[in-house]
Amino acid sequence: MMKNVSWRSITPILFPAILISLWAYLTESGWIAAYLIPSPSTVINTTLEVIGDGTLFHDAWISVSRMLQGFFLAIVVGLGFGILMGLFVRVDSFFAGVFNLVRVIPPLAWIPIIILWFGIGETSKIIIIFKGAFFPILLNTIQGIERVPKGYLEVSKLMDVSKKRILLNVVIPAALPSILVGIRLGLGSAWMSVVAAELIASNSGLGYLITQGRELSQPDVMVLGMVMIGVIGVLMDYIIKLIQSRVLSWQPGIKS
Amino acid sequence: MLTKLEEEYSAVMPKIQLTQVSKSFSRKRQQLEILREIDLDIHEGEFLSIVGESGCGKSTLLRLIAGLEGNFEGAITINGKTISGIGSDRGMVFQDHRLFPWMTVEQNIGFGLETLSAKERKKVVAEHIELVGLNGFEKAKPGELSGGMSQRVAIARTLVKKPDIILLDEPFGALDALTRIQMQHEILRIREQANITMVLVTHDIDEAVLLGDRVVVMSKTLKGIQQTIPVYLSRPRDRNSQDFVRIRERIFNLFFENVVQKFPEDYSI
Repeated sequence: MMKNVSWRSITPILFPAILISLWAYLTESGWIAAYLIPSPSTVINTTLEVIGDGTLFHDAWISVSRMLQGFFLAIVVGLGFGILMGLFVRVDSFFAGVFNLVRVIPPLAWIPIIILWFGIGETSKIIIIFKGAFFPILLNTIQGIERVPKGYLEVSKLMDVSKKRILLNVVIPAALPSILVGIRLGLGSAWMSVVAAELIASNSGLGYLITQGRELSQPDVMVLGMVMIGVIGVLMDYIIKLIQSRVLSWQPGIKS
Repeated sequence: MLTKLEEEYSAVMPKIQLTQVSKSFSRKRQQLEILREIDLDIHEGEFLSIVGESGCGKSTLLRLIAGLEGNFEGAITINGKTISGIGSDRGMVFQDHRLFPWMTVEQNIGFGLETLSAKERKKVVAEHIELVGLNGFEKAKPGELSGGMSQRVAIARTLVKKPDIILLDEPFGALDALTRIQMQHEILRIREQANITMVLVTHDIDEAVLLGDRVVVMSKTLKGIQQTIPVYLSRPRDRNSQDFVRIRERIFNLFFENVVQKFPEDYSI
């Protein structure tokens, strides 16, 4: 039993440990040139440096705060449209066509025209992030509402309660699992969009840090930027998952 | 010739009256007739059981009375007034209890009490939790309850609305045999406390006879009522008494008449 438990706790860190050891071996021994992949020690040194002068957290914070602005805007607008489109077929058919067209054009393709319209300031970045997060939230909200079990609606009707009560106490809670999936996917998408926007046009943020690394031939800075993006992404996803399991504690099988 | 019960009933206006009710569903551009020209009177305070094979339209009949199905022919009246959709005079309990899993027992029971003040609602909910014997489970969520307890909550949720009529759509069909018997007695106990007209759809002939003042046997081939059998047994009823067994047998034979004719070799015993 003890053996099982300890094995289980080791398994998830096993693969990263192997990768890091391999990385250290290949770079330190000179198998791979330092200008292609810097050694772990170089990355750690650079990390300490940029942590020391505050640029890393500054850039990370700028990226996160941009993302959060676009993301929260997407939640508000996505939920609003999603609920209306899920409830009313007419609203759905009115917007669905244009929304679908906009949706399938990837964020990267939007960046040039958005920069043309809004410049390279904060507005364009928030719009791009918004676009990335909006559609997963919208589509999952619509689906969640459309799939509210008919039985719940029948019971509500038989109970003769107001439409407002049905919406707030039955339809939205029943759609919540799907809505939260949308929010989680939207967050991932928002985070990817912020990096894309910063890579192309920015003078701050983690995306900018990576571009700068390329321009100054500092692969250690590039790697550091990537690792930061990954770590923050995973951390945010974890927080959303935590919220998910809290809010949906009534769902069978979600208990953590 | 009128039976005793029919004589008694013919004097007063029926609580629920179905006149020439037909119902079809359209599936794949085809009209599928489920019920054909049903006439049925259900009386104030009566307990009516409906049995029949799967697909005979017994649940559809109940849903029509509930007002959950539109587009039917004929007329359904309650207290002499034609129904138009659902109404708070009717409550319904389903086989899949349909409790809201995100609400506690209390919240589920109080769901329909929208217009009451919080204080009044709390009082009514507490009374009904007591009535169905769920004290101590007020804060539990449906996921933590057994099938029988869930069905008690569903019954309480319907009762708080003080309906004149409760429609029970195979409410105990998903419960184990012992819990089912318990719940049958529970329903009788609740009925003693309030003069509610109850209509029960069930697969269980025993249950139909134990609870019903009359048992309606429906048939798929007729798309309607094959026969209505009055149950002249005093309450509480004994499932093993000779009279009970006789009525059960009579219904059993009706129930399986069509099947036996179709596949006589399977029923040769």
